[in-house]
Amino acid sequence: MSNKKKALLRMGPVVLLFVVLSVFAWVKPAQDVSLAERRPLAQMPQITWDQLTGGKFMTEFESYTTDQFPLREPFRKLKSFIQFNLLAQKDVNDIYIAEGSASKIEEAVSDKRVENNAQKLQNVYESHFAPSGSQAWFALVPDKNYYLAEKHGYPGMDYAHLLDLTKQTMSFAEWIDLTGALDISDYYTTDSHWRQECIGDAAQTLAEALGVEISQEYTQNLAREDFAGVYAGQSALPLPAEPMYYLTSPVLDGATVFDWETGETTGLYDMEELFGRDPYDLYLSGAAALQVIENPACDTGRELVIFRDSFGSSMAPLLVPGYSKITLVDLRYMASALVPEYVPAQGQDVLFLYAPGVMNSSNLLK
Amino acid sequence: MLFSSIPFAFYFLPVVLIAYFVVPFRFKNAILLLFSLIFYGWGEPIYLLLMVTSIVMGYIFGLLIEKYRGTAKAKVFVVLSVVVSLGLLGWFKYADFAVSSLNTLGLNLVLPNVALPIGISFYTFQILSYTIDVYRGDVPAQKSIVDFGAYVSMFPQLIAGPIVRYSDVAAQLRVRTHSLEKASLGVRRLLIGLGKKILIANQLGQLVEICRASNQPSVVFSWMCAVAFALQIYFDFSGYSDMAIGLGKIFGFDLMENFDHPFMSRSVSEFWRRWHMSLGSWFRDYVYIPLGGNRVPFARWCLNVLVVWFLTGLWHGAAWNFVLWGLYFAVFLVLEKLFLAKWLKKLPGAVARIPVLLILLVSFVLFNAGSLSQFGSDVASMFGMNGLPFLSAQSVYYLRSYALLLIVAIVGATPLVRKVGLRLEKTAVMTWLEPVALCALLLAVTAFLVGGSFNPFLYFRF
Repeated sequence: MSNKKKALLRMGPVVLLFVVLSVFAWVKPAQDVSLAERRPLAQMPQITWDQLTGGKFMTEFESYTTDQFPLREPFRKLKSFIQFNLLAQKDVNDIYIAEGSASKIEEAVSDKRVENNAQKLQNVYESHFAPSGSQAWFALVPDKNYYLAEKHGYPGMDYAHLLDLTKQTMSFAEWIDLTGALDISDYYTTDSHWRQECIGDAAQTLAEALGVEISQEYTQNLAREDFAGVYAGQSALPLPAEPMYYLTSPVLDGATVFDWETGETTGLYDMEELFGRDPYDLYLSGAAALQVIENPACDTGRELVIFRDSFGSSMAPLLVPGYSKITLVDLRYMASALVPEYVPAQGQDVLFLYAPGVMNSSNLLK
Repeated sequence: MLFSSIPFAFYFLPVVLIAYFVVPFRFKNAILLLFSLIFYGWGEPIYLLLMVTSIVMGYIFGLLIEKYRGTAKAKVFVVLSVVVSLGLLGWFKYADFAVSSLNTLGLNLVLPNVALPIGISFYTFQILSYTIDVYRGDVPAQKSIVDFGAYVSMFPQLIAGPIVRYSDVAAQLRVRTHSLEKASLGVRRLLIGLGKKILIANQLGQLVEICRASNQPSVVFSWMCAVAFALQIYFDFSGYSDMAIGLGKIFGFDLMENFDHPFMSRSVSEFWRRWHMSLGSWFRDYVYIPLGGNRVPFARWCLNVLVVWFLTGLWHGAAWNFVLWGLYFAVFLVLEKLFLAKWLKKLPGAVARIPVLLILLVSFVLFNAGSLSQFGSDVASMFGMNGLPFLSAQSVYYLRSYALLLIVAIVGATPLVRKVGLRLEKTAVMTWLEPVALCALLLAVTAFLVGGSFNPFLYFRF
């Protein structure tokens, strides 16, 4: 074979591939969002003199071209495949798989951060609710790392220390231990959250501690056959989609949810969210600063205030049978100073229900 | 603009290649100049003015030096050229460092807060070599400002070298051949460089970040950090040099090699003949030899070595750890001259490399240290002197997670891959395997670029 032919053979296919990718990159229409990554994609920046001379255009153009590159998802999957399978790395973007379930490596426990968050919660309770005769409970949601990280040698929190620390710093509230009511099969394999149809024992544990009756006959409804959780999108690992269910009963069907931000009243489950950016928003329409669930089937007049994160969205409906009214406060989206204005203290039960990641966060709770 | 970015690879490069290959030869340097200026101005448009000023001044000084060759005026112009070039470099790169260093002595000067223009150390040294070579009569002055501008600003080597001497490319600026064979070798080299940078260096960079941020430090973690950083900087910088050489070949240029498996060295002096060779030879020809080289008494030679390595360290960064990094090598070069080289020669090949590797690892810990106290703490951690445990759960995890990458990087830093490649190249199977491998490499680097991999560029600060 002549040198020219050899050179052509060496270069031809890769140059052709390069040309195809380049042409595709130039002509491909821009997409608005990446459903897998659950985020908006960068768009073509405006070309102005200021943007050009200030260098802003160049930075934004790089984000745009990277976000809008053709075959973005297959390329992300290829990257994860190389890292996970060829380079044998144990996690991709901090996400690992153990016992067939994906989880994300968490930051180590920071005593100071936990103490700060506990102090914020204590302030809200003691300055506002306690004088009205409220009683407080605290439950730490064991996340997936609790069941997987140490057992499989992944770095993570020292849960024994975190439990001790939260018990100590949240001593104003009665401790509820949920660890025995759950195991790893109660969580989605592709997502960080627990499965509503599997947390009956955890709900019962909470109800017993709170002193309410919640036993119900639930119907398990299939919401989606192909739920791919946040870890599937973030890691781009080949995690099989899984079914997603939600529980209904006549009592739950009669309950209403009022959202203070939108001013809308809906049911406990928002079917429109099922095919949105995060299908987990099916439960109580997802993240919201302040919501009120009214249960006309309960005539005890008993009320509950839950200070919660996203785990609370699927748990709160299961506590509905025990209360006439449940107020859900998410301090990630609402300043604690505003609580007295919007949630009058009337001797309600107060439950603090948080995942370790939130208790260990800095400045997440306002 | 980084080579390892989507805008460069799939937007800038295709346009340059089309423009370059459709115009007749006489316009090719103009196209190179135009796109090199766009490339340079992409990140920091304001510094285009500095680049253009440097080109114009270098060009004029070259013509003046040639015009007055053999007279005192030529000397005046070459001195002026050196003073202006080093003055610009000094202001833009070292003003803040100088002021903050003076302030530690009790002064209270205001920091000028000058931002560092990308690649200024590289193109300043290219202009210096040009005017000095014209003064020495080694090369004639370039009459075409377009050709001279193309030489100074040529984007393949603009921001990370190699430092191309004008004498090496003067003829190629006038006449150079473009062929399929050369271009195919260039494409291969470019992709190998991209692979080294994106698939290896950037991944090792993540490990370094993890080690440094760990809340469970250990002796093993410290060693992992040191090894990963040394390999990261090698694959990062040599990867960029491969890309520059590959792009150069596509445009018809033969740029000098910049790395030759430096971690295989059996002495520190050998290391510097294999690491960033274009910088080492620049300092040899323009500083060390004019100072007298090694044909001087021992004490004077020691001084020459200290001066050269002080400057080499300073070139790498405006901070004391870089200066000390240079002087650290000077000490070992002197020790090698005194006894260490003889001692190392007596050792068997593989064993002789161990102390050299240890010296190099510690040097890169110094290179990577944000401060001298950080360096002290890092070295103490490596040798278990600050009470750290030997292992921690995190270090075990990340050692297992990055073991294969570290092995690939270590093997890749030896000549083994090249030897196997050369042997395979002669076989028939390689004729078909190579294009497949290159396509796979292009897809892999694209995947990492699209996936938004960690992408620092270590040599930007130079």
